[in-house]
Amino acid sequence: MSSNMAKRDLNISNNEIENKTQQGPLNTEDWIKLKKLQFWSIIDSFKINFVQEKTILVIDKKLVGLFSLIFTMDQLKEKGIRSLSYFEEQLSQVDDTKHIIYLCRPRLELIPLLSIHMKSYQSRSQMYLMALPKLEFSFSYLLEKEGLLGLLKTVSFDIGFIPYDTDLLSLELTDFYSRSFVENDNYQIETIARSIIQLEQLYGPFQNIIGKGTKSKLICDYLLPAQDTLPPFESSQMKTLILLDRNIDVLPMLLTQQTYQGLIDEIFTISSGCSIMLDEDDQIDQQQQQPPRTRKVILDSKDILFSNIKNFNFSTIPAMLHNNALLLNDNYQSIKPTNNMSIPDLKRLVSKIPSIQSQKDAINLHTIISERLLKTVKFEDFQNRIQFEYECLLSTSDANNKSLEYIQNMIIRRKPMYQILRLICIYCLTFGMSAKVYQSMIKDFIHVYEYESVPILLRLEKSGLIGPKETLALYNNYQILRKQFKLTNNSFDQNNNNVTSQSPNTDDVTYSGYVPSITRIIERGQQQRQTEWKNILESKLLPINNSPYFQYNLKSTAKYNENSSTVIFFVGGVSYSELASLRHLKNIYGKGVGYDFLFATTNIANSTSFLMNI
Amino acid sequence: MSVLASSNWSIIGNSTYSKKEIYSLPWDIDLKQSIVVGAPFGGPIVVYRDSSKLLEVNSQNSKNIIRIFTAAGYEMSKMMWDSTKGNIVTMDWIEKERLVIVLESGIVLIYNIFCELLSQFSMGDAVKKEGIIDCKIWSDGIVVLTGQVNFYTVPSVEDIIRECGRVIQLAKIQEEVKVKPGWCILEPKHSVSQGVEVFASINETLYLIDEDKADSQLDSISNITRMVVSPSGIKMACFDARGVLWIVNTDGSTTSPVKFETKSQKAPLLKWCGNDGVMMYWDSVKDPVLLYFSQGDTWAKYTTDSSVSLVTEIDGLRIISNRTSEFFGKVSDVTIDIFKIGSTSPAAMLYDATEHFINKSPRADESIRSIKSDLELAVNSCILAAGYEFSGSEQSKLLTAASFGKCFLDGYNPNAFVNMCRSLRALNAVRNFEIGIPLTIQQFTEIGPEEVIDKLINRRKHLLAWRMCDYLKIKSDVVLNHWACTKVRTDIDDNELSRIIINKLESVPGISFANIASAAYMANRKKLAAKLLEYEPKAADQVPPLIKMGESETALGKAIESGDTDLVYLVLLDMKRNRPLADFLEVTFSKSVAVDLLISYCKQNKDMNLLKEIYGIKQQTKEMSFTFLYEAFREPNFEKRLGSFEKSKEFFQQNKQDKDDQSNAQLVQEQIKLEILQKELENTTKESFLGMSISDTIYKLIITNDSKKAMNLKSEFKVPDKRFWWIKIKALSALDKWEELFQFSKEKKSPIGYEPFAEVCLEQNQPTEALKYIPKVQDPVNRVQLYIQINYYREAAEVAFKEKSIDLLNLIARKCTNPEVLNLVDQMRSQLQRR
Repeated sequence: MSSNMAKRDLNISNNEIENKTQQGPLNTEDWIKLKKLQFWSIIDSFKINFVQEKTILVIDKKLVGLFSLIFTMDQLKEKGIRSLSYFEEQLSQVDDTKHIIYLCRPRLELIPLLSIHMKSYQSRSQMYLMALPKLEFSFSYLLEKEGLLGLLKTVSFDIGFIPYDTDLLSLELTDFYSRSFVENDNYQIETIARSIIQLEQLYGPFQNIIGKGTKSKLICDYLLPAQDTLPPFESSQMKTLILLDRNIDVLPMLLTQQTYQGLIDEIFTISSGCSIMLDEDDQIDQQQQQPPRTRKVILDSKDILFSNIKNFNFSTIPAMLHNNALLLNDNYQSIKPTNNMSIPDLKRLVSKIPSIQSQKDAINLHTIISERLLKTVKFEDFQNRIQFEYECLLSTSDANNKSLEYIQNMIIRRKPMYQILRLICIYCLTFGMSAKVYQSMIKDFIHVYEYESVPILLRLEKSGLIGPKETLALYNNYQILRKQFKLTNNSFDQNNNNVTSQSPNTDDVTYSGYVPSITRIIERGQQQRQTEWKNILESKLLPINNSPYFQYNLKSTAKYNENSSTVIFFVGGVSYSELASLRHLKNIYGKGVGYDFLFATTNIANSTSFLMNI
Repeated sequence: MSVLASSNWSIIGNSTYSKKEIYSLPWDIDLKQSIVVGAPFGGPIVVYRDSSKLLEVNSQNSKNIIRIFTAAGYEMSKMMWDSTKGNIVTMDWIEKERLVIVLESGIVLIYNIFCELLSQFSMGDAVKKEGIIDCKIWSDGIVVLTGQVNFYTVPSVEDIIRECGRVIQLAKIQEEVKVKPGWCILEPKHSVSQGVEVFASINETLYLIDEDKADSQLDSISNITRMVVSPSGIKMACFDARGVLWIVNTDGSTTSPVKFETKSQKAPLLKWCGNDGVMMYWDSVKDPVLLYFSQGDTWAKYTTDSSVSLVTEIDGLRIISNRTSEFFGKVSDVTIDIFKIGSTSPAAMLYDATEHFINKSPRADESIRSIKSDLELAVNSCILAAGYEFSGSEQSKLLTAASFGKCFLDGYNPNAFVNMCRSLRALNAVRNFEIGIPLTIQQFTEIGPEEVIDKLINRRKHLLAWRMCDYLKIKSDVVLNHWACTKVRTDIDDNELSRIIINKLESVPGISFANIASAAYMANRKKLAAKLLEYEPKAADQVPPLIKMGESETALGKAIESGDTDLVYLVLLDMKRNRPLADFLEVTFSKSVAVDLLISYCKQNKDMNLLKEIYGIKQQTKEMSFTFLYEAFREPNFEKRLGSFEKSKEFFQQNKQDKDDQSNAQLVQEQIKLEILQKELENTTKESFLGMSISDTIYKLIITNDSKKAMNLKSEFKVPDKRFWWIKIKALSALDKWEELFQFSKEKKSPIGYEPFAEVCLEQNQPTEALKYIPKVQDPVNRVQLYIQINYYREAAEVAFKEKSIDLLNLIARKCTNPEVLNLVDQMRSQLQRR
């Protein structure tokens, strides 16, 4: 790394450290406390005598991450709940369990599991079902059909938004894209709208609602009449709500994320917004043929170092860490006691030590994580993948065949299936495949992977992510967006496009040479709200799909000031890198001019989880 | 007048009490032969012939009849008691004026004031087996004492009705019980544990029993036979076997209890008068006695010429006799101030002055002048005092006084006056003997206007309730709704009735028609119900009643209109259950949204048959073939599996225009071919092949040394050379057949180049083998990188130099640690740069 480069990085990291107050408007701890209270009051409403009667909790595996935020094993024990198990596990045959509390999203697939579980216990135990966010009619109908409804006491737990960061709320509806966009089953729309209304009840009403897309429109239709029922607010902390359908541009959900947080998610998978499992020591243990010990690492806004670096392209992270370490070292030197120190001085020094210690720990942790990430990043495969994605984004005709060949080579080498599917999706949405190429690609794919992969292919086809360009509705989207919003940087030095060297000063700090369209849309839209939004929604986005757009000014009497944030709701999911690129807008334009965002989403996904949930 | 007011006062201790008649009862009840229980807050009175009381043989009352009267003694309803149901242990009132009857068998029945059964449940087998010997009821719960001296409780009747409550057994008493204990309930809202607790006197010890334990509270000298807790839950009155009345604190903090020797061995009935004192009542045919005790040595005795029934109110006591209903309670301080004989308080002076003013006497001015400084106080007192009065004329006199005094005050806030007038108007209306709810002002403030409205609705006095809402500025939705629900059960003609109801309710914004419609439907008036439902503003509330009425089509339409998917599901699933399939599908297919949802439901619920039915109707051959495809994949049976594949193929083929489908059909055909082949292979080789992809099958064949079959497969499925080579290279490397691999590489020019050869060698950690192929690698960059991977930097550098690539040389320099090679690289770099 050239010295010039390092210097620039140093500047940035210094800025970032000074900018410690870059926290969002949410107090995550209070939110979690509230959710905890709700949860325990529901448990209390069952009126179980925990001391005398054995009570267990059975939860849906998909909710484990979510609930690790709300309760811990110790808290359950303290309450008197003896154990926690999953639907998939059968309980030990006979025991004296008196009460079973089931906790699940009412997914119909769960019914058979629930049925087996309950039937082995029904004679002896009292059973309760806590459904998130509500017990649906269809679910209770099936329960009734199985003869289970009478045995259960059912309660709904409207958990609403889960705060993942000080500026990020998620509803954790992982199947939303698939159910709503693919199957046209809009049952979760109401949940979303209700949660947004709850948000307004807490932080104040919106002044205007802007959006694009059929699902967004449905949500908006729920929101509008509810505005009159809100209690009066003197001032509101939320000014604008922007609702955007994911299928305006799905591409960012498929690209490899390159920000620090995004890359961590791609490689380690961040669960429930803040924790990852990290191998303790990799190679030594593997040789001894023991499963590697893992530890849980919490990455949240309390980790100031992480907050400062998470939104930057990974290429800049090692340098930032290095500079931070240097700074810390300076600090450390400065607190060495000298001979002629007064007692108050000494006290001040001593008080600094814990904070220095925690900074040191943070640097250590992120150095370890970065090293792990680097191992993957340096791998040729990864480099090639980024190269491929970049070629696709640029869509230059001379790279077309090369990219196609790349996919074919990957298929022949039988790389993990979802990885291939992702490549095919990206290619179909950018270059586009002719019917002939597509058919032979599919044939190749099926020949190599089990024929059972066919349902997955069909599903992707149905969701419009893959297919011959003649029939693929989303195919044109990207090219139009790219031209309208200048998403790619053609002058970008191609020899230098790998992630180990990237200038972070331009606005493509998150992906190399590419800015997600949603960032651009919002950047433009917020510049001159009335005119620009109309311009974008009406003319620029029109050719993409003829889905409805809307812009309403609400009759709110609340006052709005520079602290009122803009809420962006991603209907169908969002990735960390996309969020990062939006967060950088505030750095560019400053505070109080419409780029103070509060993000809300149905779910957070990376390229793999997005495809797996379809 | 003031002389009259104080004439029924009596001074007991430091307080003044009054006992005044509020109603003369028109009924024909003899309390000697009946059990009479009144509900608090001026509630109704239930009367039941008492089997334990003496019975006149020819009396009409010999029939077992339960009758319910208003507090003014007008009958509201009655029912014949069917004695085969079992013997009644206790009856009493709970919240919302519902009558609870507990039978010996542990059955609990709950009625409304019109003797309509609302709910019924059992206290459980344990209670039934042990038999109830005593039972007490409070505003929301029941405690029973069984023959084996166990206490069982229903902590909340409301919860049981809502099917989430249960019966709890309180802790057992550890000692042997010699005589039937005296006991009473400490309600959950008063107890420390916030659960039901029971005080019980057992073998001369007073126990406090809750769910977990029975603690002894204090040793008394003799057994307590009767006890009762005050309405506030703070104090408890106990009557012991020696005739002494004790008043103690329920929290056990009493050090020296208040005692009162009655010199009567017979236990009286104990009832609290508010929280002030205890009324004891000895019922005897000849000489019934009422004895009131509050504190110290003060007591008062009242005689009565007939049996009475007592009802504790929060601020006094109702005494119900054969002919009258009286209210006994403390006289308020403001009333005493005004009406005490010879009182010179400002309020009394103001009251006086007002009378003079009305009589046009000049003394009015004099009196007012004398209290000028205390006038505001006097006005406030008169307003308050008016509230305590039952008599309308007395109320108006006091209010006139207040309003007269008010004239002399500047900037007096009239709110208190206006509110009092409003409250009194409401109170007078409900106290009227035709309504018969003798609420005092304190009771009124305690329960609030909404509950008074509820009481009126319960009595079906809708007009009054509605007017009162209007007057007290309360939303009248509840009243109108209840009124309409009652109306639909009458036999007014449909058109007429709907006109009446809609006229009345339409003017109220946002009122719900849904439950009225449901009520109409329950009363078997479907047409009316449908008509009313049209007016329901919320779609979500329209749908469930429509379903109930069997109007599925309309319900489906409304559900879709509402945009609530769950409602649509509700309609669909109900139709699916209750209608013939064809019928159900026909209705569903009238709405495309509904079809989408039904499909989504089928997929989630794996209802393949219904799914096929739907696709069949929609003639969606593509979806149909997919469905068969899914089915095939999940089918373990080989024959059936092939069958489903065939079906899938057929449907794909049907769509001749669609190229996609034609190629899909080919794919399915290939899969069928593959599976048949695999089945054969399994039969011949005894290895498992089914479920594998073509590549995997070939791979396995090579691994198991069956290259010939592998070649067959290759040609059968037109596997391109590229892929076949890769599979073979992979397989050979996995078998460690390096020689064979080398031979294979020389067989002919590799269609995939020589990188894969090097790659697999490196994967298996065979750098020497890899070295055989690296020179053949076409792309120099790849060649360099491969050399680097096996640490052949010198060779890498040579290639790079030959390609004249500084970048590659730089790359090598970064990786290499050998100084000799580094030197070489430096030389090469400078050489290249020089050019």
